[in-house]
Amino acid sequence: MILAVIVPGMSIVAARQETQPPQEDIRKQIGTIIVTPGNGPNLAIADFISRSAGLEAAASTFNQVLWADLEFAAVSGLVGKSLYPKTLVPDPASLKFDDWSADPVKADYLAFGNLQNTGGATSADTYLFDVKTKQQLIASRHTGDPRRIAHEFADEVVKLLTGRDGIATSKIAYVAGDSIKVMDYDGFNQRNFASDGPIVRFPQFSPDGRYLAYVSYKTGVPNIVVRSAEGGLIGGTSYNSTTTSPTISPSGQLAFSSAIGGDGSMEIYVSNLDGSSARRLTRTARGINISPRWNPQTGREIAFISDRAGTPQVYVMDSSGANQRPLIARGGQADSPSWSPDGRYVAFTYGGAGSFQVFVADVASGQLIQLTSQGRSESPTWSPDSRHVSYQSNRSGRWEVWQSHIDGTGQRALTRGGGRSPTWAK
Amino acid sequence: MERKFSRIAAIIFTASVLIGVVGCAKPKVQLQVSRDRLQQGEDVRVSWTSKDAKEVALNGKAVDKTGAQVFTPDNTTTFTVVGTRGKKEARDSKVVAVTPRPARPTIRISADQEVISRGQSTTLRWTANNADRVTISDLGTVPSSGSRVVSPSTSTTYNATATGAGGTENASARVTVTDETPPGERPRISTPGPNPTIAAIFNQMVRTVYFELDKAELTPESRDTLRRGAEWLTQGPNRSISFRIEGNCDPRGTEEYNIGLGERRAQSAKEFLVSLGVEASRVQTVSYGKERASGTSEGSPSQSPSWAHDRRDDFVYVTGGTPRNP
Repeated sequence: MILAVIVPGMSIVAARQETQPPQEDIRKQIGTIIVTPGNGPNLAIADFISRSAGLEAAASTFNQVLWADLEFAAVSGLVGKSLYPKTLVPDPASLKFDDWSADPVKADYLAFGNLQNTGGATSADTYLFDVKTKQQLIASRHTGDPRRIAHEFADEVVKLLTGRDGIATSKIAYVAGDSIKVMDYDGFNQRNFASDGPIVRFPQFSPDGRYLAYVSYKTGVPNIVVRSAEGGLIGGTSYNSTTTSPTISPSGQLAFSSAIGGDGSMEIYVSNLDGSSARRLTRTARGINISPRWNPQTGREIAFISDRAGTPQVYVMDSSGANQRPLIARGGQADSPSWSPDGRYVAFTYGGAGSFQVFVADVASGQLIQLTSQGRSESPTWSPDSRHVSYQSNRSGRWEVWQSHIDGTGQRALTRGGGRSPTWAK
Repeated sequence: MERKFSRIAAIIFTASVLIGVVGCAKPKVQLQVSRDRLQQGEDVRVSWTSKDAKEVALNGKAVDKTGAQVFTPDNTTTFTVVGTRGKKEARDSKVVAVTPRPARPTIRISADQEVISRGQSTTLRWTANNADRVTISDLGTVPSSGSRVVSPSTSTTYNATATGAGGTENASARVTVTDETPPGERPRISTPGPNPTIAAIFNQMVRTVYFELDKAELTPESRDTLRRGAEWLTQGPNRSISFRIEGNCDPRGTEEYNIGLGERRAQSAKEFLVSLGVEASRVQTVSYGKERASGTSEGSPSQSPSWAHDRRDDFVYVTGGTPRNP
C-alpha cells in the first residue's frame, strides 16, 4: 500500500562531507532495521493463562497488547497462533520444548506465563525461553494494570533479543483541538496535558521525556510554555511578537523562533529552559527562520527551516549559531524537521502547492526516502529507538496522528477524534 | 496354630480399625479465601475442603463437603466452615477485611450571567466534593470550590472535571458572548477598550490588507490602505492608541512555516506604518498562521471564504485614544 521510494535526481548538500562514510544505500540500511518475517529469529507467544477467578478479561487484554507490542517492535518474526500446540503453557514445568522447536511452529523463542491476583492487584509471571537450547532467558514478575505490564514485558523481551531499549512504555504528546494531550505510544490512555490558552500548538518533548515545551496564545501573543512531564510549570517566554516552535536540547536548553529582533524577520534563539537569557543565532534580512530542532544525540547541532535562499528548506547549524548550511536543497517547500534520537536521520515535511508528505534523510549521505504518500502527511517525530516515526495525516478526512516503521510499512492511525503535531519520548 | 492366631489377630485389628473409623474419627475442615482484604464491590472466592465430616456448613448454611463460592461482601466478614459428625465438630475461619468504596466525586459549576456582550465579564462559581483535583478548561487546576471572573472574547463552554479516588465527574457552564461575527469575518476587537466607539472608528480607519500567494511584501493597494490608516493613527489623541497586527495565511502551506509567514506579513505592515510615523512601541504583532483559514479555492479578497481573503493582516484596537461619545 505504502511504498518507500528512493527519490532520484535531487541535489544534495551533504552535511559533513569530510567525515562521510562509504555510501550505503539508505533503503538497504533501513531494511536491516525493521525485521520482516523470515529475516530474523522466530518468536512464539503462547497465550498467558489466568490463574485466579475473574482475571479472564485482564488476561485477554494482556495477550492482545503483548502481541501488538512485539509485532510493532519488529525485532523478530512472530509465529502465528494457529500453529501452536494445544497444550497450555502457564509455567516452565508445563513447557515441552520439542512442541515449540519442531514443525510446524519452528520457534526460536517462546514467551509465556500466567496472570494471578496477588493482594488485590494483577500480577503476571512472565517467561522467555530459547526453545532450541532449552535455556531460560527471562523469568520475571510484573504487577499492575494489565496493559501496562504487557508493555513492560514486551520491552523486556525486546531488550533481551536486541540489547536495545524497546518503545512499548513510551508516550506521545499531540495537539487535540485546543488542548495538548498525552497518550501511550499505541494510542491508548489519551489524557489531557495542558489547555492554558485559546490556542495551544507545537508540543516538543525534551530528549529524555522529562519536559514538554509548547506554544500558547494565552496572552494574545503566541509564546513558549515549558512544563515538566508531570505538568508542573517550569517557565517560558513573554514577548510582544510571535514566538513559536520550541525545542529542548539533551542538556536542557531551549531554542525557539521569534520576531523579537525588531528587524521584521523570524529568527532562531537559544535560552535557558525557563526562557531566560535568550541569545540570537540567525540573522537574515526579512527572512523566516523557524522550526528549530536540536540534535538529540549530540546536542551540538540544530536543524531548522530557512527561506534565506528563496523557498523554505532544511538547514543545519552548530548550536552556537556557527556554520549555517543547507542540509537538503531541492526546491519545493520543507518544514518541521525532526532528528532521530540516534542522530542518523532527519525526517521532515516536504512538498508544495498544498501537497506535502513525510521524507527521511540520511544525515551523513543526504540520501532521501519518501515515507508517506496518502493525503497530506506532516510534522514527523521519532520513536525513542529511532526505528519508527509518527506524524499527522489527513488521509482519513481530518488530521489524525499516525505511526509507521522507518521503512514506511506498518502505517496505523493512533487517534480517532483528531490529532496533530505528535512528539514522541521515553 | 500360629497361623490361626495371626488370622484372629488380623480380624480383631481390622474390627478395631473399623470401629475407630466409623465411631470415633474426628472430622477435619479447612477454609481458604482468595484474598483477605478488598474494596467494597470487589469479590472474594471462598473455598473449603473437609474430611470425615457428615455435614458441612459455611456461615450456618449447609454446603457441599468440598466446594467454593464467590462473595461480594459489603462489610468485613468472617467466613467459618463447620464440619460435624455426630457430636464431633471441627471448624476453620478466615476474616476478609472490606474497605468502603470511595465516594464518587461531585461537581457543580455555573456562571452568574450566562449571556454577556463582548468585553463584559461574568463570574464562574464551582463546588466539588470528594475530589482530589479539579480542573476547568481555560483555567487549569483550581481549588475544589471557588469562583473566577472570566471575560471570554467568544462564546465558551467551561468544562469542569473533578477527579478523586471514587472516579471522575464532569460538569459544564456555557457563557454565550453576543455580537459575534460569523466565521471568516473574525472578530476585530478581541481586547475591548474603555469605549467601544473608539474601537469601531479604529476599524473604519485602519483596514485589513491582503497579500499575494507565499508573499509577505505589501501590494501597492495595501500601501494606499496603510497610508490612510497611518494618517489617522498619527492625528492628535489617536497617537495614544496601541493596536495589534494579526497576520494570516491560506491553508495550503504547512503549519509551522505559516506561523513565520503570517508574522512576516504583520511585520511588513508594521514596518511601513513605522516609516509613516507610527511609533513601533504602539504595535504588537501576532501570527495566526493558517489557524483562521477557511478558503477552499482562490477567489478574491472581498469573497469569504477564499484563499485570497485568508492571506491578510487584521488590525485590532487594544487601548488608548479619546472617546468620542462619552
